[in-house]
Amino acid sequence: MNKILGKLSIIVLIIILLVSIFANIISPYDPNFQDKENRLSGFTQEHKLGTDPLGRDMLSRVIYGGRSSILIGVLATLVSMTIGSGMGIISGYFGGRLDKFITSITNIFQALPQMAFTIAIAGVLGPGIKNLILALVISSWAGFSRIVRAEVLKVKEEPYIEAMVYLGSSDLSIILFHIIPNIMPNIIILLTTRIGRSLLSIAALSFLGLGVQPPNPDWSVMINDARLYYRSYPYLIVVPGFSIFITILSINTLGDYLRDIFDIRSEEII
Amino acid sequence: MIKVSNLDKSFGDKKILNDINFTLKSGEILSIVGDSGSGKTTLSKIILGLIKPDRGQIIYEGVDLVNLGKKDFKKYRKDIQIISQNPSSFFDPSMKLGRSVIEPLKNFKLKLDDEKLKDLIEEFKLDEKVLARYPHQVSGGEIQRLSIIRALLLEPKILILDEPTSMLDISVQAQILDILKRIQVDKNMSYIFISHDMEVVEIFSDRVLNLKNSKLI
Repeated sequence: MNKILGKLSIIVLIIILLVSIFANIISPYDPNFQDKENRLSGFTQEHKLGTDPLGRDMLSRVIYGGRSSILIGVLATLVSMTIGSGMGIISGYFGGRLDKFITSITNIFQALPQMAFTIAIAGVLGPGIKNLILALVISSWAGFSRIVRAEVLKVKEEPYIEAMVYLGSSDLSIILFHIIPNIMPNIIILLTTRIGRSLLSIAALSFLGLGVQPPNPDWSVMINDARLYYRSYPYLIVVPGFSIFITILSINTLGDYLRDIFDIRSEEII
Repeated sequence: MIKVSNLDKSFGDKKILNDINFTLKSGEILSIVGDSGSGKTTLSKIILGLIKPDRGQIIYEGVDLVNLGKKDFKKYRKDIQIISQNPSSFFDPSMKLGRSVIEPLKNFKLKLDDEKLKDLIEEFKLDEKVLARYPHQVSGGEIQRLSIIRALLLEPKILILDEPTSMLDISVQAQILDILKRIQVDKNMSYIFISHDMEVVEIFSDRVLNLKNSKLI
Protein backbone atom coordinates (compact mmCIF):
# COMPACT_ATOMS: atom_id res chain seq x y z
CA MET A 1 0.00 0.00 0.00
CA ASN A 2 2.82 2.35 0.97
CA LYS A 3 4.52 1.64 -2.35
CA ILE A 4 1.42 2.45 -4.39
CA LEU A 5 0.74 5.64 -2.42
CA GLY A 6 4.44 6.56 -2.62
CA LYS A 7 4.51 6.20 -6.39
CA LEU A 8 1.21 8.07 -6.68
CA SER A 9 2.63 10.92 -4.60
CA ILE A 10 5.68 11.09 -6.90
CA ILE A 11 3.38 11.36 -9.93
CA VAL A 12 1.28 14.07 -8.25
CA LEU A 13 4.38 16.05 -7.22
CA ILE A 14 5.90 15.76 -10.69
CA ILE A 15 2.65 17.07 -12.17
CA ILE A 16 2.58 19.97 -9.67
CA LEU A 17 6.24 20.79 -10.42
CA LEU A 18 5.78 20.59 -14.21
CA VAL A 19 2.65 22.69 -14.05
CA SER A 20 4.52 25.29 -11.96
CA ILE A 21 7.57 25.30 -14.22
CA PHE A 22 5.58 25.51 -17.47
CA ALA A 23 2.88 27.80 -16.06
CA ASN A 24 3.39 30.37 -18.82
CA ILE A 25 2.62 27.72 -21.48
CA ILE A 26 -0.20 25.89 -19.68
CA SER A 27 -2.19 28.71 -18.13
CA PRO A 28 -5.02 30.02 -20.29
CA TYR A 29 -4.64 33.65 -19.13
CA ASP A 30 -2.05 35.99 -17.68
CA PRO A 31 -2.54 35.47 -13.91
CA ASN A 32 -2.88 39.24 -13.38
CA PHE A 33 -5.18 39.91 -16.31
CA GLN A 34 -8.45 41.41 -15.07
CA ASP A 35 -11.58 40.46 -16.96
CA LYS A 36 -13.72 43.13 -15.34
CA GLU A 37 -16.92 42.05 -17.02
CA ASN A 38 -16.62 38.54 -15.57
CA ARG A 39 -15.82 39.17 -11.93
CA LEU A 40 -16.70 36.29 -9.54
CA SER A 41 -18.02 34.40 -12.52
CA GLY A 42 -18.12 30.92 -11.01
CA PHE A 43 -17.23 27.91 -13.15
CA THR A 44 -17.82 28.84 -16.80
CA GLN A 45 -16.62 27.69 -20.19
CA GLU A 46 -14.24 30.67 -20.42
CA HIS A 47 -13.01 30.44 -16.85
CA LYS A 48 -12.95 26.77 -15.86
CA LEU A 49 -12.33 27.51 -12.14
CA GLY A 50 -14.06 30.86 -12.14
CA THR A 51 -12.65 34.32 -11.52
CA ASP A 52 -11.77 36.27 -8.39
CA PRO A 53 -13.26 39.64 -7.28
CA LEU A 54 -10.94 41.46 -9.70
CA GLY A 55 -11.93 39.22 -12.61
CA ARG A 56 -8.59 37.32 -12.64
CA ASP A 57 -8.76 33.74 -13.91
CA MET A 58 -8.56 31.34 -10.92
CA LEU A 59 -7.12 28.45 -12.96
CA SER A 60 -4.27 30.61 -14.23
CA ARG A 61 -3.56 31.95 -10.75
CA VAL A 62 -3.59 28.45 -9.23
CA ILE A 63 -1.21 27.23 -11.94
CA TYR A 64 1.18 30.11 -11.22
CA GLY A 65 0.50 30.05 -7.48
CA GLY A 66 2.51 26.91 -6.76
CA ARG A 67 5.76 28.45 -7.97
CA SER A 68 6.51 30.72 -5.04
CA SER A 69 5.04 28.49 -2.32
CA ILE A 70 6.93 25.38 -3.40
CA LEU A 71 10.16 27.24 -4.13
CA ILE A 72 10.14 29.04 -0.79
CA GLY A 73 8.98 25.98 1.17
CA VAL A 74 11.53 23.60 -0.30
CA LEU A 75 14.42 26.07 -0.24
CA ALA A 76 13.77 27.23 3.33
CA THR A 77 13.44 23.66 4.59
CA LEU A 78 16.58 22.48 2.79
CA VAL A 79 18.61 25.34 4.25
CA SER A 80 17.15 24.71 7.74
CA MET A 81 17.91 21.01 7.39
CA THR A 82 21.49 21.63 6.33
CA ILE A 83 22.20 24.05 9.17
CA GLY A 84 20.23 22.12 11.80
CA SER A 85 21.56 18.69 10.82
CA GLY A 86 25.12 20.01 10.70
CA MET A 87 24.78 21.44 14.21
CA GLY A 88 23.04 18.28 15.46
CA ILE A 89 25.73 15.99 14.04
CA ILE A 90 28.60 18.05 15.47
CA SER A 91 26.86 18.35 18.82
CA GLY A 92 25.90 14.67 19.09
CA TYR A 93 29.12 13.20 17.74
CA PHE A 94 31.75 15.29 19.48
CA GLY A 95 29.86 15.89 22.72
CA GLY A 96 31.56 17.81 25.55
CA ARG A 97 31.55 21.59 25.70
CA LEU A 98 30.66 21.97 22.04
CA ASP A 99 27.55 19.86 22.62
CA LYS A 100 26.58 21.92 25.66
CA PHE A 101 27.04 25.16 23.73
CA ILE A 102 25.03 24.04 20.68
CA THR A 103 22.33 22.43 22.83
CA SER A 104 21.93 25.65 24.83
CA ILE A 105 21.43 27.70 21.67
CA THR A 106 19.05 25.07 20.28
CA ASN A 107 17.04 25.11 23.50
CA ILE A 108 16.68 28.89 23.37
CA PHE A 109 15.32 28.72 19.80
CA GLN A 110 13.10 25.76 20.68
CA ALA A 111 11.62 27.51 23.69
CA LEU A 112 10.04 30.15 21.46
CA PRO A 113 6.66 29.27 19.91
CA GLN A 114 7.63 28.66 16.30
CA MET A 115 4.77 30.37 14.48
CA ALA A 116 4.87 33.47 16.69
CA PHE A 117 8.67 33.55 16.34
CA THR A 118 8.43 33.28 12.52
CA ILE A 119 5.85 36.06 12.40
CA ALA A 120 8.04 38.23 14.64
CA ILE A 121 11.12 37.73 12.46
CA ALA A 122 9.15 38.24 9.24
CA GLY A 123 7.60 41.35 10.78
CA VAL A 124 11.02 42.79 11.68
CA LEU A 125 12.61 41.89 8.34
CA GLY A 126 9.60 43.08 6.34
CA PRO A 127 7.69 41.36 3.54
CA GLY A 128 9.40 39.72 0.58
CA ILE A 129 10.50 36.27 -0.55
CA LYS A 130 14.12 36.54 0.72
CA ASN A 131 12.99 37.68 4.14
CA LEU A 132 10.34 35.00 4.24
CA ILE A 133 12.95 32.30 3.60
CA LEU A 134 15.26 33.84 6.22
CA ALA A 135 12.45 33.96 8.78
CA LEU A 136 11.57 30.32 8.16
CA VAL A 137 15.21 29.21 8.40
CA ILE A 138 15.88 31.12 11.63
CA SER A 139 12.77 29.75 13.27
CA SER A 140 13.07 26.13 12.18
CA TRP A 141 16.74 24.99 12.11
CA ALA A 142 16.70 24.20 15.83
CA GLY A 143 14.05 21.50 15.38
CA PHE A 144 16.35 19.68 12.96
CA SER A 145 19.34 20.10 15.24
CA ARG A 146 17.61 18.61 18.28
CA ILE A 147 16.24 15.57 16.47
CA VAL A 148 19.42 14.90 14.49
CA ARG A 149 21.52 15.17 17.67
CA ALA A 150 19.33 12.55 19.34
CA GLU A 151 19.68 10.25 16.33
CA VAL A 152 23.46 10.70 16.27
CA LEU A 153 23.71 9.92 20.00
CA LYS A 154 21.83 6.68 19.37
CA VAL A 155 23.88 5.59 16.34
CA LYS A 156 27.18 6.64 17.96
CA GLU A 157 26.72 3.96 20.62
CA GLU A 158 26.42 1.19 18.04
CA PRO A 159 29.34 -1.28 18.09
CA TYR A 160 30.05 -0.74 14.38
CA ILE A 161 30.91 2.90 15.08
CA GLU A 162 33.32 1.82 17.81
CA ALA A 163 34.73 -0.73 15.37
CA MET A 164 35.45 1.99 12.84
CA VAL A 165 37.72 3.67 15.39
CA TYR A 166 40.12 0.74 15.66
CA LEU A 167 39.69 0.04 11.96
CA GLY A 168 41.29 3.42 11.35
CA SER A 169 38.41 5.65 10.23
CA SER A 170 38.74 9.36 10.89
CA ASP A 171 35.95 11.28 12.61
CA LEU A 172 34.99 12.83 9.29
CA SER A 173 34.69 9.50 7.49
CA ILE A 174 32.74 8.00 10.41
CA ILE A 175 30.31 10.91 10.18
CA LEU A 176 30.05 10.87 6.38
CA PHE A 177 29.97 7.14 5.70
CA HIS A 178 28.50 5.61 8.85
CA ILE A 179 26.53 8.17 10.86
CA ILE A 180 24.76 10.08 8.08
CA PRO A 181 23.65 7.01 6.04
CA ASN A 182 22.22 5.45 9.19
CA ILE A 183 20.25 8.51 10.25
CA MET A 184 19.20 9.37 6.69
CA PRO A 185 15.81 7.58 6.72
CA ASN A 186 14.73 9.65 9.72
CA ILE A 187 16.13 12.88 8.27
CA ILE A 188 14.10 12.31 5.09
CA ILE A 189 10.91 11.82 7.04
CA LEU A 190 11.69 14.96 9.01
CA LEU A 191 12.49 16.88 5.84
CA THR A 192 9.22 16.02 4.14
CA THR A 193 7.08 16.78 7.17
CA ARG A 194 8.93 20.08 7.60
CA ILE A 195 8.42 21.04 3.94
CA GLY A 196 4.72 20.55 4.58
CA ARG A 197 4.96 22.67 7.72
CA SER A 198 6.90 25.37 5.85
CA LEU A 199 4.19 25.51 3.18
CA LEU A 200 1.64 26.03 5.93
CA SER A 201 3.80 28.75 7.53
CA ILE A 202 4.19 30.48 4.15
CA ALA A 203 0.44 30.32 3.72
CA ALA A 204 -0.07 31.81 7.18
CA LEU A 205 2.54 34.56 6.71
CA SER A 206 1.25 35.48 3.27
CA PHE A 207 -2.25 35.51 4.69
CA LEU A 208 -1.02 38.02 7.29
CA GLY A 209 0.59 40.12 4.58
CA LEU A 210 4.16 39.20 5.61
CA GLY A 211 4.93 36.73 2.84
CA VAL A 212 4.38 36.85 -0.88
CA GLN A 213 2.89 40.18 -1.82
CA PRO A 214 -0.14 40.82 -4.04
CA PRO A 215 -0.70 40.92 -6.95
CA ASN A 216 1.79 38.00 -7.25
CA PRO A 217 -0.19 34.82 -7.80
CA ASP A 218 0.32 32.60 -4.77
CA TRP A 219 -1.98 30.04 -3.18
CA SER A 220 -1.89 31.69 0.24
CA VAL A 221 -2.28 35.19 -1.22
CA MET A 222 -5.32 33.84 -3.06
CA ILE A 223 -6.79 32.58 0.21
CA ASN A 224 -6.12 35.96 1.80
CA ASP A 225 -7.75 37.75 -1.10
CA ALA A 226 -10.83 35.52 -0.75
CA ARG A 227 -11.50 36.40 2.89
CA LEU A 228 -14.37 38.78 2.25
CA TYR A 229 -16.09 36.66 -0.39
CA TYR A 230 -15.67 33.03 0.59
CA ARG A 231 -19.13 32.66 2.17
CA SER A 232 -20.82 33.49 -1.14
CA TYR A 233 -18.06 32.15 -3.38
CA PRO A 234 -16.44 29.23 -1.51
CA TYR A 235 -14.48 28.13 -4.60
CA LEU A 236 -12.22 31.19 -4.03
CA ILE A 237 -10.83 29.42 -0.95
CA VAL A 238 -11.43 25.78 -1.89
CA VAL A 239 -9.35 25.91 -5.11
CA PRO A 240 -6.08 27.27 -3.64
CA GLY A 241 -6.75 25.47 -0.32
CA PHE A 242 -7.05 22.14 -2.11
CA SER A 243 -3.81 22.86 -3.99
CA ILE A 244 -1.96 23.40 -0.69
CA PHE A 245 -3.61 20.32 0.84
CA ILE A 246 -2.77 17.97 -2.03
CA THR A 247 0.85 19.23 -2.22
CA ILE A 248 1.46 18.74 1.50
CA LEU A 249 -0.23 15.34 1.51
CA SER A 250 1.89 14.19 -1.45
CA ILE A 251 5.12 15.40 0.17
CA ASN A 252 4.32 13.60 3.45
CA THR A 253 3.40 10.38 1.63
CA LEU A 254 6.59 10.62 -0.39
CA GLY A 255 8.51 10.94 2.88
CA ASP A 256 7.07 7.67 4.20
CA TYR A 257 7.90 5.95 0.93
CA LEU A 258 11.47 7.26 0.81
CA ARG A 259 12.06 6.19 4.41
CA ASP A 260 11.17 2.62 3.45
CA ILE A 261 13.51 2.78 0.47
CA PHE A 262 16.44 4.17 2.48
CA ASP A 263 15.96 1.72 5.33
CA ILE A 264 18.14 -1.12 4.07
CA ARG A 265 16.98 -3.33 6.96
CA SER A 266 13.50 -3.46 5.50
CA GLU A 267 14.96 -5.26 2.46
CA GLU A 268 14.21 -8.89 1.97
CA ILE A 269 16.36 -11.35 3.93
CA ILE A 270 18.01 -13.81 1.57
CA MET B 1 55.46 -7.98 21.88
CA ILE B 2 53.19 -6.11 24.28
CA LYS B 3 53.61 -5.51 27.99
CA VAL B 4 50.73 -4.52 30.24
CA SER B 5 51.74 -3.15 33.65
CA ASN B 6 49.85 -2.02 36.73
CA LEU B 7 46.62 -1.45 34.85
CA ASP B 8 43.65 -0.16 36.87
CA LYS B 9 40.18 0.71 35.67
CA SER B 10 37.04 1.62 37.59
CA PHE B 11 33.58 2.62 36.46
CA GLY B 12 32.18 4.78 39.24
CA ASP B 13 32.82 3.00 42.51
CA LYS B 14 33.22 -0.38 40.87
CA LYS B 15 36.79 -1.52 40.30
CA ILE B 16 36.83 -3.54 37.08
CA LEU B 17 40.56 -4.07 36.66
CA ASN B 18 43.00 -4.02 39.55
CA ASP B 19 46.75 -4.01 38.99
CA ILE B 20 46.75 -6.07 35.81
CA ASN B 21 50.17 -7.25 34.64
CA PHE B 22 51.06 -9.55 31.77
CA THR B 23 53.30 -9.84 28.76
CA LEU B 24 52.28 -11.22 25.41
CA LYS B 25 55.19 -12.71 23.52
CA SER B 26 55.63 -12.73 19.76
CA GLY B 27 53.89 -15.73 18.20
CA GLU B 28 52.14 -16.63 21.45
CA ILE B 29 48.48 -17.43 22.08
CA LEU B 30 47.63 -16.12 25.52
CA SER B 31 44.20 -16.95 26.85
CA ILE B 32 42.39 -14.83 29.37
CA VAL B 33 39.50 -16.58 31.03
CA GLY B 34 36.95 -15.27 33.46
CA ASP B 35 33.27 -15.08 34.24
CA SER B 36 30.92 -12.70 32.47
CA GLY B 37 31.43 -9.17 33.78
CA SER B 38 34.92 -9.96 35.06
CA GLY B 39 36.44 -7.19 32.91
CA LYS B 40 37.76 -9.16 29.92
CA THR B 41 36.11 -6.90 27.35
CA THR B 42 37.18 -3.76 29.25
CA LEU B 43 40.75 -5.02 29.14
CA SER B 44 40.55 -5.61 25.39
CA LYS B 45 39.05 -2.14 24.84
CA ILE B 46 41.90 -0.58 26.81
CA ILE B 47 44.48 -2.44 24.71
CA LEU B 48 42.67 -1.24 21.56
CA GLY B 49 42.84 2.34 22.84
CA LEU B 50 39.06 2.71 22.95
CA ILE B 51 39.01 3.56 26.65
CA LYS B 52 41.71 4.99 28.87
CA PRO B 53 42.75 3.17 32.05
CA ASP B 54 42.88 5.03 35.37
CA ARG B 55 46.50 3.95 35.81
CA GLY B 56 49.08 1.75 34.17
CA GLN B 57 51.11 1.22 31.05
CA ILE B 58 50.74 -0.71 27.80
CA ILE B 59 54.14 -0.87 26.16
CA TYR B 60 54.15 -1.80 22.48
CA GLU B 61 57.25 -1.37 20.30
CA GLY B 62 58.81 0.68 23.11
CA VAL B 63 55.91 3.14 23.23
CA ASP B 64 53.37 3.53 26.02
CA LEU B 65 50.04 3.37 24.15
CA VAL B 66 48.13 4.71 27.16
CA ASN B 67 49.71 8.14 26.85
CA LEU B 68 49.20 8.49 23.13
CA GLY B 69 46.72 10.93 21.69
CA LYS B 70 44.23 9.93 19.00
CA LYS B 71 46.53 10.93 16.14
CA ASP B 72 49.64 9.23 17.48
CA PHE B 73 47.72 6.07 18.32
CA LYS B 74 46.61 5.69 14.69
CA LYS B 75 50.14 4.56 13.77
CA TYR B 76 49.68 1.45 15.93
CA ARG B 77 45.97 0.76 15.37
CA LYS B 78 46.54 -1.45 12.34
CA ASP B 79 48.78 -3.74 14.40
CA ILE B 80 46.18 -4.52 17.07
CA GLN B 81 42.82 -5.79 15.91
CA ILE B 82 39.89 -7.58 17.49
CA ILE B 83 37.37 -10.24 16.54
CA SER B 84 34.31 -9.94 18.71
CA GLN B 85 31.72 -12.49 19.75
CA ASN B 86 28.83 -10.70 18.03
CA PRO B 87 30.26 -9.65 14.67
CA SER B 88 27.01 -8.67 12.98
CA SER B 89 26.75 -5.61 15.23
CA PHE B 90 30.30 -4.64 14.21
CA PHE B 91 29.31 -4.19 10.56
CA ASP B 92 27.51 -1.06 9.40
CA PRO B 93 23.96 -2.21 8.53
CA SER B 94 23.70 0.37 5.75
CA MET B 95 26.84 -0.81 3.96
CA LYS B 96 27.38 -3.86 1.77
CA LEU B 97 29.75 -6.37 3.35
CA GLY B 98 32.29 -6.12 0.52
CA ARG B 99 32.70 -2.41 1.13
CA SER B 100 32.87 -2.91 4.89
CA VAL B 101 35.61 -5.52 4.52
CA ILE B 102 37.91 -3.35 2.40
CA GLU B 103 37.15 0.00 4.05
CA PRO B 104 39.87 -0.38 6.76
CA LEU B 105 42.50 -0.82 4.04
CA LYS B 106 41.59 2.59 2.66
CA ASN B 107 41.67 4.05 6.17
CA PHE B 108 45.25 2.89 6.59
CA LYS B 109 46.13 3.81 2.99
CA LEU B 110 46.86 0.19 2.11
CA LYS B 111 46.28 -1.34 -1.32
CA LEU B 112 43.72 -4.07 -1.73
CA ASP B 113 45.35 -7.30 -2.81
CA ASP B 114 42.55 -9.03 -4.75
CA GLU B 115 44.37 -12.35 -4.71
CA LYS B 116 44.79 -12.23 -0.98
CA LEU B 117 41.13 -11.44 -0.46
CA LYS B 118 40.17 -14.26 -2.80
CA ASP B 119 42.46 -16.70 -0.97
CA LEU B 120 41.03 -15.73 2.41
CA ILE B 121 37.46 -16.09 1.14
CA GLU B 122 38.38 -19.53 -0.17
CA GLU B 123 40.21 -20.51 3.00
CA PHE B 124 37.21 -19.55 5.13
CA LYS B 125 34.92 -21.45 2.75
CA LEU B 126 32.78 -18.46 1.85
CA ASP B 127 30.91 -17.69 -1.32
CA GLU B 128 32.09 -14.44 -2.93
CA LYS B 129 28.44 -13.47 -3.31
CA VAL B 130 28.26 -12.60 0.40
CA LEU B 131 30.33 -9.49 -0.34
CA ALA B 132 27.39 -8.08 -2.28
CA ARG B 133 25.01 -8.53 0.64
CA TYR B 134 24.11 -6.48 3.70
CA PRO B 135 24.89 -7.76 7.23
CA HIS B 136 21.28 -8.76 7.92
CA GLN B 137 21.25 -10.92 4.81
CA VAL B 138 23.95 -13.39 5.88
CA SER B 139 24.29 -15.98 8.65
CA GLY B 140 26.20 -15.54 11.92
CA GLY B 141 28.90 -17.93 10.74
CA GLU B 142 29.39 -16.08 7.46
CA ILE B 143 29.65 -12.69 9.08
CA GLN B 144 32.06 -13.97 11.72
CA ARG B 145 34.33 -15.28 8.97
CA LEU B 146 34.09 -11.93 7.17
CA SER B 147 35.03 -10.09 10.36
CA ILE B 148 38.13 -12.29 10.66
CA ILE B 149 38.96 -11.62 6.99
CA ARG B 150 38.50 -7.88 7.55
CA ALA B 151 40.99 -7.98 10.41
CA LEU B 152 43.47 -10.27 8.64
CA LEU B 153 43.60 -8.06 5.53
CA LEU B 154 45.28 -5.45 7.73
CA GLU B 155 47.99 -7.98 8.69
CA PRO B 156 47.83 -7.16 12.40
CA LYS B 157 50.60 -8.33 14.71
CA ILE B 158 48.25 -8.86 17.65
CA LEU B 159 44.75 -10.20 17.31
CA ILE B 160 42.35 -10.11 20.23
CA LEU B 161 39.82 -12.93 19.89
CA ASP B 162 36.93 -12.01 22.17
CA GLU B 163 34.97 -15.26 22.32
CA PRO B 164 35.02 -15.42 18.52
CA THR B 165 33.17 -18.70 18.21
CA SER B 166 30.69 -18.54 21.08
CA MET B 167 27.78 -17.72 18.74
CA LEU B 168 28.60 -20.50 16.27
CA ASP B 169 27.70 -24.16 16.23
CA ILE B 170 30.33 -26.68 17.28
CA SER B 171 31.40 -27.86 13.81
CA VAL B 172 31.90 -24.28 12.58
CA GLN B 173 33.72 -23.41 15.85
CA ALA B 174 36.31 -26.10 15.27
CA GLN B 175 36.73 -25.11 11.64
CA ILE B 176 37.31 -21.43 12.41
CA LEU B 177 39.67 -22.09 15.33
CA ASP B 178 41.63 -24.43 13.10
CA ILE B 179 42.05 -21.76 10.40
CA LEU B 180 42.95 -19.13 13.01
CA LYS B 181 45.60 -21.40 14.48
CA ARG B 182 47.08 -22.09 11.05
CA ILE B 183 47.22 -18.38 10.18
CA GLN B 184 48.79 -17.60 13.56
CA VAL B 185 51.59 -20.07 12.93
CA ASP B 186 52.10 -18.99 9.30
CA LYS B 187 52.27 -15.28 10.10
CA ASN B 188 53.83 -15.64 13.55
CA MET B 189 51.02 -13.54 15.01
CA SER B 190 50.19 -13.12 18.69
CA TYR B 191 46.69 -13.81 19.91
CA ILE B 192 44.92 -12.76 23.08
CA PHE B 193 42.16 -15.34 23.30
CA ILE B 194 39.30 -14.32 25.57
CA SER B 195 36.92 -17.09 26.50
CA HIS B 196 35.22 -18.95 29.29
CA ASP B 197 35.19 -22.27 27.51
CA MET B 198 38.06 -24.02 29.33
CA GLU B 199 38.11 -26.98 26.95
CA VAL B 200 38.70 -24.76 23.92
CA VAL B 201 41.19 -22.61 25.84
CA GLU B 202 43.33 -25.59 26.79
CA ILE B 203 43.51 -26.90 23.25
CA PHE B 204 43.98 -23.53 21.58
CA SER B 205 46.36 -21.56 23.77
CA ASP B 206 49.99 -21.60 24.91
CA ARG B 207 49.33 -19.94 28.25
CA VAL B 208 46.21 -19.21 30.34
CA LEU B 209 45.54 -16.35 32.75
CA ASN B 210 42.45 -16.12 34.91
CA LEU B 211 40.70 -12.79 35.49
CA LYS B 212 38.96 -13.06 38.85
CA ASN B 213 37.76 -10.37 41.24
CA SER B 214 39.27 -7.77 38.90
CA LYS B 215 42.74 -9.33 39.29
CA LEU B 216 44.71 -11.46 36.89
CA ILE B 217 45.84 -14.75 38.40
